[in-house]
Amino acid sequence: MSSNNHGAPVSEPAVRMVDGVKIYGEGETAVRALGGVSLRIERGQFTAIMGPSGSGKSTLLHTLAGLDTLEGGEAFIDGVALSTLKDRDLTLLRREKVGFVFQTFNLIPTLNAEENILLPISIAREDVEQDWFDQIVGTLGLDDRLHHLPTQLSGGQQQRVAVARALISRPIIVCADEPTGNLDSRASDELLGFIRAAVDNIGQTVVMVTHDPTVAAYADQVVFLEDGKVIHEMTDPNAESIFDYLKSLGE
Amino acid sequence: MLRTAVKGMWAHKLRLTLTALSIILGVAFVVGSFVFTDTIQDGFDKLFGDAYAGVGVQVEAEVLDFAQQGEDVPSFDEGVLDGIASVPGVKVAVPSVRGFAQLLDSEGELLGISGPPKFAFSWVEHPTVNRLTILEADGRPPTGPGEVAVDIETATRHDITVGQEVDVAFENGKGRFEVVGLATSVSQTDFGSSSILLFEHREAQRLLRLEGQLTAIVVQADEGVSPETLLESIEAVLPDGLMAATGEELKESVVEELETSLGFFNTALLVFAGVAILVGAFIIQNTFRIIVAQRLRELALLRAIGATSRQIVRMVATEAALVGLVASALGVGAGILLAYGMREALGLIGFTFPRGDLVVETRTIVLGMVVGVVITVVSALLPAFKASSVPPVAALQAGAGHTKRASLRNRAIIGFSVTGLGIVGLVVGLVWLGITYVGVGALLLFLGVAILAPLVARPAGSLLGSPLPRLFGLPGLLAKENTRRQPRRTAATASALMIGIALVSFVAVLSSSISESVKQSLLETFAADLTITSLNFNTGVSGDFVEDLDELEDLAAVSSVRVGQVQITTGDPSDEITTNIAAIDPATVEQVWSTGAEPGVDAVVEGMIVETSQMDERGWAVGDILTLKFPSGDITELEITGTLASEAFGGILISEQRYLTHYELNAPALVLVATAEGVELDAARQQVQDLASDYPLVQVQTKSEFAADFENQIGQLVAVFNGLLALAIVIAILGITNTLALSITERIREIGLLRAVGMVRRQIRRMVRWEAVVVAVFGAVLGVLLGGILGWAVRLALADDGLEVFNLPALQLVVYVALAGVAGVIAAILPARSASRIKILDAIAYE
Repeated sequence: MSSNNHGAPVSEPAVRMVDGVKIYGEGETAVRALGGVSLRIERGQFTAIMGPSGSGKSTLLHTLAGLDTLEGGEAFIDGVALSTLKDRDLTLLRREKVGFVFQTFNLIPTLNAEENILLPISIAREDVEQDWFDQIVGTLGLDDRLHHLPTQLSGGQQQRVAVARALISRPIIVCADEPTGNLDSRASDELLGFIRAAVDNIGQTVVMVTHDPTVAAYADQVVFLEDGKVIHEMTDPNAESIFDYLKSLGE
Repeated sequence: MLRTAVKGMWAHKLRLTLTALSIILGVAFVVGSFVFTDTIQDGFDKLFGDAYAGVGVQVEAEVLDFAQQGEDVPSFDEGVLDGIASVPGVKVAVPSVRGFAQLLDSEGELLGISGPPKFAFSWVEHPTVNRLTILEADGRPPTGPGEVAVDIETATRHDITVGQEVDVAFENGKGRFEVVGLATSVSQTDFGSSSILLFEHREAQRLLRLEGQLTAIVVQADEGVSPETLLESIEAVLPDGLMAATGEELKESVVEELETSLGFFNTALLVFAGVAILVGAFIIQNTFRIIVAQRLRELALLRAIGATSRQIVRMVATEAALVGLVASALGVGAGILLAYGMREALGLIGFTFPRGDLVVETRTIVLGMVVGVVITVVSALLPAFKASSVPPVAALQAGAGHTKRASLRNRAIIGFSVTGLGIVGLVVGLVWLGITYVGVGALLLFLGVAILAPLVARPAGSLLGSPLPRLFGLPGLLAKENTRRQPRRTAATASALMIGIALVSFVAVLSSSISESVKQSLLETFAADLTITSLNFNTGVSGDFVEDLDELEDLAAVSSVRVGQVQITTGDPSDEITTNIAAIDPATVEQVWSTGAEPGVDAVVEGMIVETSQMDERGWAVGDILTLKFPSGDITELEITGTLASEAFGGILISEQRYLTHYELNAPALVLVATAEGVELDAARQQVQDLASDYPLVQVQTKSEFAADFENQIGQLVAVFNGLLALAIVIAILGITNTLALSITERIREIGLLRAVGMVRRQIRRMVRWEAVVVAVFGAVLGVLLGGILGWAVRLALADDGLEVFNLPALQLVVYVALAGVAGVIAAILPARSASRIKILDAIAYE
């Protein structure tokens, strides 16, 4: 699966932001969560966004994914400017082009694993591509868990179902917000391995927020945020180089 | 703890508003009922006080108090007047007649609604005896033939002015009169919807067929003579068959009679208010249970930091009491407005009552407040105890479920016991002990089914929701699943609706069975081609008209049926019953009515014949001799000489001849007509109708029209019942809204997730809407089943009393279920909107 299949010009990245500004609150209590962020997430790339609490990394992810709106600047998904879209079109865009994995509460408790995976397809009332579904489920090792309710799954399994759901509609981009935040290190490694494989094998673009250097090390590049600004970008990171950079910040 | 309770309440103000609404409505109904009846009572008290103000002592024909009173009263010879006037202490004795008279419009149709009395009075020309006065500006009193004075309110209502000619209907014909004056009550009290027409005394006697007769003599005492002394002096000279009473006594007896009937009316209203409150209690309980569940961790935290479980109970109960207090106060206010609105609304359709301020008694306010607060607190107690059992560790466990599976078995045991008790109550009530037990049985049955409902909520959700996924895709599937996830919540919400729907279904089943039974017995047992009745409920069919009918050659039989009240004993005064008795003409009745009399209708010549099942019920047998007491005071002994198959007219028959000797007011209630062989029905009817043109009150109908008319009346009654039950249903629908709103706050993250992965707002709304529809339809189906069973049981119990046919109005019941579905859609409007507006980020960040 090549990124060119999405039909956009090759030069257009999966997602980009130009001078993104986001302010919470008003007057003296106003907080500048994003202070003019410009960023490109290239197709087929696995990008990690890092930064301390309050650095704006979740806000960046939310505004990139069309969950939240910018006060200034513009965010584009597959070349579409998000600020031009009404709620309905934005929702349809998310449905078709964005996959989500959250830290907790990823699954609808009344639906079983299979129904949760197929959620975006069912919402759109589209037909299931059975081969694609089988491939994802097989890769994530969920074959024998499809008819279980979320409460009957382990934390790791729940997050794998969430990843499967994020991939099922062949989105332009998968947005993951601390996807391993509630997992132990083994389950965490396993899940990140699956995400990495999706990037390598099917060219899936992924952007992930994390505060954990070992998690960020799975990415192709790391974007460092502080006080709502991009302060550094690192390519081909490993845990050590990330650590070192963070340590240098502290000094 | 009070401060914590107040803060807790404030924090959940939105969800509590809806709870409060159900209390407000229930309390408003109770308060409204009392204020309304008190106000009417007060108005009539003033009216009667006024009416008897000029009466020292009044002389009337003796009538026992069980007689039904209408515009017509028995009369007596006017020769009595001179004797009364010469009694020492009498200052003045004024003769008076009263009867029925009603204005006609230009088309010859009766003016004004039927029900409130339409009086004709003779004009009393005496300055102090006068209850009515005609002001100079409003013309003059009637002084001779062809003149009438009209009470000013009736005149205003129908645009009648002095100098105008009006047509007036009497029991035995009609006439044209010139309006010479408009009469006002001395103290400006109005008469509600009744009308008063005044004629010169001799003219009134002629018009009312009371030549040489009086219906009352109004006496005033000389200076210094008390009414009581006067009464004694008059009673000493009073001939048999007459009675005298002081004005005060008369007023009291009329007011007492009115109080009794208004009391019945108030009780009936309060029964409906009780239903509304019961439904409200369900909703309050459900709301508090959900709130407690949602605050589990907060409560556990309070426990962890040292609150005792008793303090937790007290906190929740205090919160309930505060809600109850505020809501009840609002309910009292709303009830007063309701009473006002009721009076105005009834006025708009022609039922006006004597004017006056609304009467708000202290007991009304106290009762409303007590009912509201007690119901709220009691309903919240169960959830409060549940809250107190929260273990402190629950505060530490994320999303502690705290649901016990084992309780399902207990629920089944309790539910079946209560249901069983309800069924026992119903059976006992229906077979032996009467309506109170039926009511309690029905209440227990409702409660039992409500307790059991959670056990079937899941399968019911699956079944009723099964078409949803196919129809609406994922929102449909989620709607179905959401009805199944908290069976107790779904069931409690549905049960509230169940009660109202069960009662309207019961009314539907019973009324359609009554209609069908009456129709069948009419068609089967009545051979009459035409029926003749009076349009005025209080008067019978004109005797003159019946005489005219007898002249028509195309009619084979004209047979009158008279119905009166009677008291019957077997000798022991304790088994005295007051019942209807009907009189027939044995010579003609068989041609128009198959009475099924054994050995035959001629048996009435010697005694009385009684319907078979009634004989069994009362323990009578053929050959028994019973004592009959008539309203005139006559007492006679009569043998049961035969049996009767038909329950019609009360099931006790005597001969026309015997009836006429005991009843002075004896116009037929119904005249049955059979056409002669070879005469077309239409032609015969035309002849009868032509004769009737001189008698505005006479109503000529074919048998099927008569049946349809009856059905129509039943239909009107059903409409009134349904109108009164509507409030209970409205409250139940508010309950659906409330539960949904609470559920949505619980599911906020889930809805946020659905929005994030691409569900548009419309789909969210659809999901909420169809959940509401499934819950509503679930409640309606339970209600229709329960109401149907109740109707079936009551019909069965009344089979002997003329309810021979069971008729299931299937279409109507299906419509009820469908309407409940529509109500579900309406109930979901607000929650669906707020669900669709949930901000995705808030939902994701929600913790």
